[in-house]
Amino acid sequence: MKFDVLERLLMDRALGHLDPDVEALLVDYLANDPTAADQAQELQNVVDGATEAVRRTGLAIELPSEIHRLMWRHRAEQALALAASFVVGVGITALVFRANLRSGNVAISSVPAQANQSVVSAAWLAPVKGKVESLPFWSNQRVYLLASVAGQSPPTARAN
Amino acid sequence: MQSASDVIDRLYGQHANELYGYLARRCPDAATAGDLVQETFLQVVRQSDQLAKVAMPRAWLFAIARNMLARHYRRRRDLPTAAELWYASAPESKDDRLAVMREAIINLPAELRDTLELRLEQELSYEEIAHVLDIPIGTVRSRLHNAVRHLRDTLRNQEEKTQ
Repeated sequence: MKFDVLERLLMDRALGHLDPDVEALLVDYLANDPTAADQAQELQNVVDGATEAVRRTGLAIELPSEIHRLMWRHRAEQALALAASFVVGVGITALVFRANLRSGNVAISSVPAQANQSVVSAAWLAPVKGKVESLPFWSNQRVYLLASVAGQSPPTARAN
Repeated sequence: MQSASDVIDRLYGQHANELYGYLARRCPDAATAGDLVQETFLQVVRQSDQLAKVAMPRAWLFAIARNMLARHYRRRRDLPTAAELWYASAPESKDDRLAVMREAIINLPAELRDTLELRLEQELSYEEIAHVLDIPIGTVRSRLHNAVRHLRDTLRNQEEKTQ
């Protein structure tokens, strides 16, 4: 077996991360190769020594046995974030409204602008209705187009 | 089906103490370690919608704990390193070989030491370490092998000096 392949297998074995089937084959191999067996033992000693060095015993552990207060803390944080968002939202709206009020371009309407337009169009339909009816090939779309054009003209101008 | 709260409770029962052990040796005092465990689980609560997707809960917890620890150290730049804290506070050993080993571990490059400690101290699998450190599993293997090789060479040199 190549040295680097053998070393990798021995390392993984010493670190406890070798597939059991592979380990069984490796043990058979080591039984017939004393040099490799010595190398395996040396690596195992290094890993055992390192394990002993990194582990600490007798560490006092005093942790709360439940974490419900974490849940409450999380909920409190969520509630606080929601309240903060609400306050910021109201604040921004108030600022925008105030700025618009100062510049005098506040538009207050109880119905959407599009709805207003269609009402005006219908209201001004009468003056052109006769003309439209005299031309039966005109589509409904055309009728409403004419009506809307009539709606944009001042009533006095149309009377003339 | 378990609620998120039950799952978090179970994770806390199973892993809080080992997380505390891991953090305690990297913090200047036990209270900080306890706070970081709480912060870790608070983060778990915040990410409770992801619990179902977590394939390796233990590795996931260690990854969060490491992030909390890193954040803590970023805030407090004057703190000694985790390795200095741990190995300095370790009880004096009459075994020279163990003392040499501790010294050798302190002198390992940080990424090798971190990887080695996750394997030997926390007994995380290679896959879990890869998840915690967010590195490929091949990198975990090579780091561990390099660390062991480093330690072996140090011990060999030490033995040659004493003979």
